[in-house]
Amino acid sequence: MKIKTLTSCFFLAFAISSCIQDEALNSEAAIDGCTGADVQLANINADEKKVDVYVHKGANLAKQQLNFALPEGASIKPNDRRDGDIGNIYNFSEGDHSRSFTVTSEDNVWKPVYEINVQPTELPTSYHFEELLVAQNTPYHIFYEFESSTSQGISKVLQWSSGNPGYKLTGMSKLPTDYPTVQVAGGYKEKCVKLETKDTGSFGAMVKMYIAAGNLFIGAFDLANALKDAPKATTFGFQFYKRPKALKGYYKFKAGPVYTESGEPQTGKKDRFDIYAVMYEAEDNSFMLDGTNSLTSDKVVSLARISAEEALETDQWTPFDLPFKAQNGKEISETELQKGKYKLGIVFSSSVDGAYFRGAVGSTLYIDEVELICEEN
Amino acid sequence: MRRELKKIIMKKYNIIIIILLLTVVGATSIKAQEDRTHILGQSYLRGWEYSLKAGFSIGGTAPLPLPEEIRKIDSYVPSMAISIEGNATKWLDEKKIWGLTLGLRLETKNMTTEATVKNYGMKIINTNGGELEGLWTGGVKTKVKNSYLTVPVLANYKISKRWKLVAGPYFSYLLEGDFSGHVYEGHLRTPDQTGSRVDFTDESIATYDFSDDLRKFQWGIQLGGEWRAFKHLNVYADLTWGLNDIFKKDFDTISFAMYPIYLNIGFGYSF
Repeated sequence: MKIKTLTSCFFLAFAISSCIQDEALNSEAAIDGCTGADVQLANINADEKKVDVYVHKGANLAKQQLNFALPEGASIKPNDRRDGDIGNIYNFSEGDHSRSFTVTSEDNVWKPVYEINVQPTELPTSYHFEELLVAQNTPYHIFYEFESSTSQGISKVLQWSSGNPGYKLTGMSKLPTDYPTVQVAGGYKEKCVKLETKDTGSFGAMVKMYIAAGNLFIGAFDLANALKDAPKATTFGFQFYKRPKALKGYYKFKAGPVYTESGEPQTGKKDRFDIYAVMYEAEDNSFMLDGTNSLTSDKVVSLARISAEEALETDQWTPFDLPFKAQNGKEISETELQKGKYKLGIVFSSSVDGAYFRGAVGSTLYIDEVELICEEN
Repeated sequence: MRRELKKIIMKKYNIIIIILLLTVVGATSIKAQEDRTHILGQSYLRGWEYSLKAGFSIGGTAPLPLPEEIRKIDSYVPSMAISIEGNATKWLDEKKIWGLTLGLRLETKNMTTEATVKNYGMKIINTNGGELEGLWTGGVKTKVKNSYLTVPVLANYKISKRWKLVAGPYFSYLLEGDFSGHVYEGHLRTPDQTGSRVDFTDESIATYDFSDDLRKFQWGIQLGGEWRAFKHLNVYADLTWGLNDIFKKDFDTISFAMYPIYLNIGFGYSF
């Protein structure tokens, strides 16, 4: 009897002292996404506290609509108000089109300051892999292409994306050169990009992502999706106003020794790389194809891809020339093209099925001097 | 001569005797049994009493009060945790009302919980030494399985012939510790509040293991009661309440202290 009393006393004491407290206000303060009427692509770098917003050519920089995805309860405000700021419309017309914004967490404790750069751009068509984005706090390479403005137009810039931010989560890299996607010397001309399929260690095994293929693509890497749905994390494409004819360039490739599928070695299978360029319809500027549908979507109008027969091992710089072929019985419409309703993505990967964790650790693809050949307007 | 020697041992090495009793009970010869009965009889007259206890522990290793990071306890499984103890009690007065008990207990304190948390400090360690650190919002499954060697030092107060209350501090040494689990259905903000968001859903989980960060020495207070059912057989219940954090001082991933609070119920045999 008394034991019963004692027991119930204990649980009563435990229950009373363990009451769930009132929910605290959220302390998260970051920019998780950025969209807008003119926004083609936003590269968010939380390490740098920087967002590079690429808008289409001809966008009115004095009236940029920016919708930020923020953590629950957080708010965002430009550090200095400018004429023309109304609600989520901001004036980026002055100076170098760069402004500081402060994100404030719901609990008002965390206030990171982000630099937001709005850059009108058009996709360049030749890629040299010579430049890296200056990013002091970022532990990996970010490739950058720049073609200065011609008399009539704007400068053409491209910030390449890669799976490097995802690989950072594994904790496998100590140096920038430990990442799957790196810049190296010894290119066809000066520097080039090296893509290597890497082991993801115990962390990768835990999340059932056993390998990380080196990849480089036009688009954005969505880190939030990196562990729950890796192919979806790689989103491809940027607005494009020309009719592409072919994708040309140079490569070297060596397959890794052991082909694995979900971490299990497979006999008789050899890894190969992938290079492709895809043009697709994007009615809405926020629409992107990703690793799950970039080759299969019915939005695809034209595709240039290296075939299995062509994708051979070679230790010499070897040219590739991939013609664009119409897909889904579609043709590029001139009016839609002029309206900017097409997007073009270019993808390089050291393991063709790397997005599904099939490939060989050590597969290495070098790429240099790539050019997108287009019809003259 | 032999008996006298044993008496000296009795006086000086009570604890060792307890350990011996603990380990050799059930495996002794009738001769030894007779000897021991004799010794026990002698020491009983001098106010000494010995007993063996066996029971199980039920409770939790938890922060108190629950911090604001913990939003909801979704499940709790105490799981079986056995304890065995040998102790010696010295009655201080003629009537045997007040006494002092020194014991040695081998015990495990277990539990498994699933909780929903918000901005809960989390660190996932890769075998190559890399770390993924951040704040977790979502589900956390925690498994605690700690074995201790515990020395309770208890004051005894006999209410009646059958009832006895005990209270006092205990000191534990962690023999084997396991504090691990995984996070699921939520998101990690890494490396801190202002970092990037990484979502985990469905199949994607991340395991963590803080076993190496458990403190070796722990202490707390013990309160309990014992009821003498038969001449030798007792039923007891003891509440042990940890008073220092189960984690080491320099461990700051979990931002709040956690204490083991367990109820130990079982039977005792008094010699």
